[in-house]
Amino acid sequence: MIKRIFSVLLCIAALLSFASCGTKYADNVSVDTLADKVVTALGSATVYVDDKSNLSNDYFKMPDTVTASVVRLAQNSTENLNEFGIYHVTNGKADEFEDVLEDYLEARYEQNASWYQDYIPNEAPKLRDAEVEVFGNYVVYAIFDRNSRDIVFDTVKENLKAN
Amino acid sequence: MNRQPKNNNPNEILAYLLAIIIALVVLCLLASLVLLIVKLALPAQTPQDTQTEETTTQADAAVSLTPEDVILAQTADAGMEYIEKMIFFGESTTAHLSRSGGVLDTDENRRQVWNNASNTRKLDSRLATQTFYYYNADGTREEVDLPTAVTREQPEYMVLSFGLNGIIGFIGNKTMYLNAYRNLINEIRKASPDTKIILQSVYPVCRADNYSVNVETLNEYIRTLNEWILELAASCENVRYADTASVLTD
Repeated sequence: MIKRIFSVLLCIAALLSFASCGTKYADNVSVDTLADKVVTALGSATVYVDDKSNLSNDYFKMPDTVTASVVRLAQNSTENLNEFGIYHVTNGKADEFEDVLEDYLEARYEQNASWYQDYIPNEAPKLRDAEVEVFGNYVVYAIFDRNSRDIVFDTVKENLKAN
Repeated sequence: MNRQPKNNNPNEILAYLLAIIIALVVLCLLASLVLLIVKLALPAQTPQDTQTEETTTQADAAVSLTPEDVILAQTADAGMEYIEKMIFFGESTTAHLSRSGGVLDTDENRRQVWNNASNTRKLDSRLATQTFYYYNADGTREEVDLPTAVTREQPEYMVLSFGLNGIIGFIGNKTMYLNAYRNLINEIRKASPDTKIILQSVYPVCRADNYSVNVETLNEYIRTLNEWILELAASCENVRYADTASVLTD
């Protein structure tokens, strides 16, 4: 009898811990605020500017579920490929948009690899190894070296963790 | 009367725990598998599925020239006085005009070639916002973007040369290429309406290093792109096409 009670209690405890294992993220943080935090965390070695060109429009049509976005890139973007984008996605479509961004980054690399390798070979791996992460309703991509990519994602994650 | 001893074997408890853990792990794996199947089954939005519409510009309005009308004919050599009216804006083949002994690699003429620090660029939506070196009349140099430079310079002619950088992507997406080129022409028009724009053909190549296709295929792509550039020139007001590729092709 005791064994059965113990088993049931263990099951309940395991189920409860399983249900709570996902991190909760806030949904009301402005993408510009997040971008400012990321730029601060990255340090002052590179100046970042807002991308007003909507380069992504060359590759895909922005879904209606994206309600806010910001892209910041290195001011000297023809020599420094450092870039990140933060998107707020509604209706539970964040994972789907993650796929869109991954395809977008892959297409950018395929189209530009040849001349990047000729002229800015040290920068090409940043785009080749670009990553996309999802934090609740926020989807973030980062085109950086490994360390800076981690800074970008960690900064967004920390600033989105719900209290 | 014999009574059955209570079975408090610790091994049994451990066995129960292990069974529970295994069951949870299996549950997690099944859930992940289901999610993966659902994800794969849903149609993904790919860049090619969502083609942006072809944009038009003011330059497109009411132009009824044929491609043959816009090809610049060979004329007598008009000398440096003519060339010095031009601003050159393009990829690395353009950058070399003012570098490493190029024909414009002089103190007087270097300012005609708008280069950036990496001496190359690619045609895309970001092009007009990227900065490059602009030489002021007093000889000082500063980094400005295209609209700023064109507004200051008001060039009589601008020779644009784009297409080789990114050609692997362009060849499969004519709309993207033409939209990007039209947007560039439009930016120049806004800043300097009277500038005569010359779209130069993409040069043929003899090697295809770092490209995912061989040189024969790359040159086929270049010929196709040049047909598009010619069409674009014919569809825009006050734009002409310089067929340098024919001169350079065997």
